[in-house]
Amino acid sequence: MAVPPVPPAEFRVLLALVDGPKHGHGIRVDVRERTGGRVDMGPGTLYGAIKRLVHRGWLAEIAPPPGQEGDGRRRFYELTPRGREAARAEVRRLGELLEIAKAKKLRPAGEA
Amino acid sequence: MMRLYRWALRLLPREFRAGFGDALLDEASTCLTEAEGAWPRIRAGARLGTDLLKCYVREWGDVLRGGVSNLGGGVSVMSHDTVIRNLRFAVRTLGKSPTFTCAAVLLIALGVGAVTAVFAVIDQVLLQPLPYPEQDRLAFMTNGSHNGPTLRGLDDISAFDAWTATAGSNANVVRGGGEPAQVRSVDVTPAFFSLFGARPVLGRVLVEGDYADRSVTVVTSAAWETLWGADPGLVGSTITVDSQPVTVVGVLTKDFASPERLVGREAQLFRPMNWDNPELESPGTRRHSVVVRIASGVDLSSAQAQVDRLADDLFQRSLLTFTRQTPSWPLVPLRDATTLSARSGLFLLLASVSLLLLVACANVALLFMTRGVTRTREMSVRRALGAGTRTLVGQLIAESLLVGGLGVLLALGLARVALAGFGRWIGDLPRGGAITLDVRVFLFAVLVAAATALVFGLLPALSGVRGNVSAQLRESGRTSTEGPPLRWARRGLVVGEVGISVVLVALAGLLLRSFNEVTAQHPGVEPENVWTIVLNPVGLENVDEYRSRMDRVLAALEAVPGVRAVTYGNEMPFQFVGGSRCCEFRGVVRTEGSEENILQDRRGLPTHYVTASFFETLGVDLRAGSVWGPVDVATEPPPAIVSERLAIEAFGSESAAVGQELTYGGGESFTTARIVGVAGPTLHYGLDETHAEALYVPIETYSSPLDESTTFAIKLSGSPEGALPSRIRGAIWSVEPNLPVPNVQPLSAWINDSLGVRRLSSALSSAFGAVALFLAAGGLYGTLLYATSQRRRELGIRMALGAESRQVQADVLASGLALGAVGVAIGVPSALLLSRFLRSWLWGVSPSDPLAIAGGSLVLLSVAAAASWLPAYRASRTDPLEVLRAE
Repeated sequence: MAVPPVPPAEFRVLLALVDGPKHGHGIRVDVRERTGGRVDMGPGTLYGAIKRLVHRGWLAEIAPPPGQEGDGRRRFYELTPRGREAARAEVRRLGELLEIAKAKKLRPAGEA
Repeated sequence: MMRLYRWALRLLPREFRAGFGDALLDEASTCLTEAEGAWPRIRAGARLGTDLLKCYVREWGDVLRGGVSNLGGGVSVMSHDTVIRNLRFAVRTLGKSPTFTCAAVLLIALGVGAVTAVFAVIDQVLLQPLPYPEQDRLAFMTNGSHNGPTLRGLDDISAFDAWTATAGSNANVVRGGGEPAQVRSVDVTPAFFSLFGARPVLGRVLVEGDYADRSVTVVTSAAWETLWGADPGLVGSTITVDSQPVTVVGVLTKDFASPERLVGREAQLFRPMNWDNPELESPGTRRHSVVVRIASGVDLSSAQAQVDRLADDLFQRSLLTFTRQTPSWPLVPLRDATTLSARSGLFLLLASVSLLLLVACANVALLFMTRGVTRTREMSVRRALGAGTRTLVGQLIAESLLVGGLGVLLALGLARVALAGFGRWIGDLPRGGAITLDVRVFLFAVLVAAATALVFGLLPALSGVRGNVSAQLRESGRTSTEGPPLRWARRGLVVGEVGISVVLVALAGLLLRSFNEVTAQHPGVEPENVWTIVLNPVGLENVDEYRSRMDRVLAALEAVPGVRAVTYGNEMPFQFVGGSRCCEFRGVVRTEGSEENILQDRRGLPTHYVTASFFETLGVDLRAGSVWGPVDVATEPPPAIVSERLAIEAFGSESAAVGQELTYGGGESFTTARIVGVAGPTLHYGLDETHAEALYVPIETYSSPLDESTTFAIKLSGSPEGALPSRIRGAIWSVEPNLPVPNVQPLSAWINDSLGVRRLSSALSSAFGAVALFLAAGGLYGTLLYATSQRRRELGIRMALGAESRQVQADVLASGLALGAVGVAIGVPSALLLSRFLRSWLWGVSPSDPLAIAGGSLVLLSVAAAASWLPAYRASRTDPLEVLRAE
């Protein structure tokens, strides 16, 4: 059965957490930096996505990692094994789409 | 801003708020602190707002579905079912009360449609980024009126990584065959094309090499199509521009939008800047518009500091002649500079439609409240039978969302109609053009409608599912009555909408009054049967050639049958209204040979260069003296005619002015003239012009730039017969075959155009006022009708006990008027407070004009009385027997 696509905002949050746990603000900063400032998630979008992912069991809230306990208000999240699995499934799905596009010689916008 | 956000968070579902409310607040305050400056902060605030609205929809959606949405189908079949069931149920219940449904949908459509239409305009004009690369780093440099930086000096400012300067002018193009055409030609510097992302669809753009020999041009796609019928052979061919052969080297793409703040929207030709022009290297130059791109990582204020240093340096070295202090050349983000003129008007419009939306919302709330109360019994029965509050609320949400959904569909239709209807006016706005209802606008409408439906539909309806079930069931009677809190809420809503209507009606009154004041002004000229023709004679050798050729045109026009008088000058009345005007000088009045500087410091003595026939053609009467003759023009000092007010202020009376000498000029050059006559006052620059001083000078003394336009005026002896413009063109082309005649229109059309914005603003505000009035009357009427129907039992008993029907009638009427009066009492101070923002729009009327404000209140009170009358009448006809039988 085909895997249902992960909504873009949620996928971005998953990707932000692939290389280690982060707090909410850290996720937003990571997304912004990785996209050169083009994608700046609003607070509602960000935490809405986090809520959904936690609910689905793809994210887990964890204790602040050592050295970052200082700010007690920040809540840290990490990818669960299921979350990582879901992110990989989405990567494969997107990869397949990309292959189709390449096979049809569709060049990305902006390229000559 | 954060307080508002904190408040807005409370509208999120409790569960989500408890989990993430603080985190949202933290993140939002980070977003705001990251934005520097007022405008970016407003934009950040707007982004937070949209983000939160989307969040409402998602999170409440989750609640409505009874859990978090899952990916894929399998797991969430049940919650999906619930939604469908709720919607189906909503369709059924709403279908049973079609009047209620139609009224609520119409109200939402009206309010949301109006706000959406205005938002669509604001979005395109103010919010969308300009279609240029790195547009947020482009800044417009405002020059002084007679000074600016030298263009080469801009290279030394390290805060700029590129700059361009442009100078526009009208040019005459002769094509092989066809009539000569007047086009807008713009001289540009090399960086222009890269700064604005202009690419050629055919040929190439201008390159450095073109600047040595300036005989090349690039044309816009629109000009290529309209002037040359999209002929692909145009590139490489030679056309005649202002009698010079010029080679077309490229055509720009269709999607290239001219930077209108610089070159206007109608720019058609782009030609290389003439670097040999000494003006370019003089800081006294002012005929260029400059746009710079600020280097990445440099902020506007440090770039401004560098510009200020340059200005100070030029001033200290005494290179700036027309200023007594260091001038300031502010850098303004290009987008803001482009749309500045439209901003206050659009915000005024947004404020008005938002008030209108509030009035409509109040009525929606009243409708849902009534419905909620009448369904109390239904709800309590269902609750008694085991329906959970959650289920009932879910159904109510579905009902309000369905009403909102229907409303938004209709609203989008209304917005489309409104945008099409006002298309001409919207086209005149900066960045105007055709407004499309795109995804953003659609989303905006959906969000406003959803918020309206939920806040004003769901909240009032919720009253039905609260309270003690057994108490509600025990209550006797088939109808339910509402408790005091609801009654007060209802009165509050009515009072509120009456208050808002007072504001809208009073503002409409102010704008209408000032429109009437302006149109009541006598223009000082007789526009009947006067037609104007704008010409642009270029490529002239000297002033003598200019005059002899214009005199030939004048003679040709005089020979047209039915023409009584012809004149020409550098401009005609009402051709330039508002800001831009030609030839203003400071005046110095000299009496009896001794210099008396009465007008020395008075800026702006409008000076009109005209032929002697001007006064006869335009019907301007002379109060003293006479028009100059050929002999006067030839003697020194040359003659001049002054306006009445100038004569009285400078010399005491009209007759005293005749024969006196007057010196006028600007900067270092002054001219002396002998006053031969005094003309009556004319409102040359618009009927709302208060500056009635003017100086008329023979066109024979006009030695100013030759490339400026010349306007002819002709007076006909009767109404024009058909095809006058073509006969005029024929007459002109018989002597000047290569001169374009783009604009032939009656003087009354110029006058009419000058009133356009005032007419539109007063018409729009009157429409808003009328709709608000209608809605407030409806709300009041419905509320009273409902209240009396609730009091039927009481009224019946009172009448059975002998109360007179007139007494009952007066009772109800009084309660309606009381609500109206409280509304007016709130509305009048609000109107007084808000009308101050209208000051710049008013003319001849004070913002606290008693007639408009009191008139507005009176209109509202009489409408309140009218709306109360029918319910009062019905109450007085209550039949005691019938009521008691029903018990």
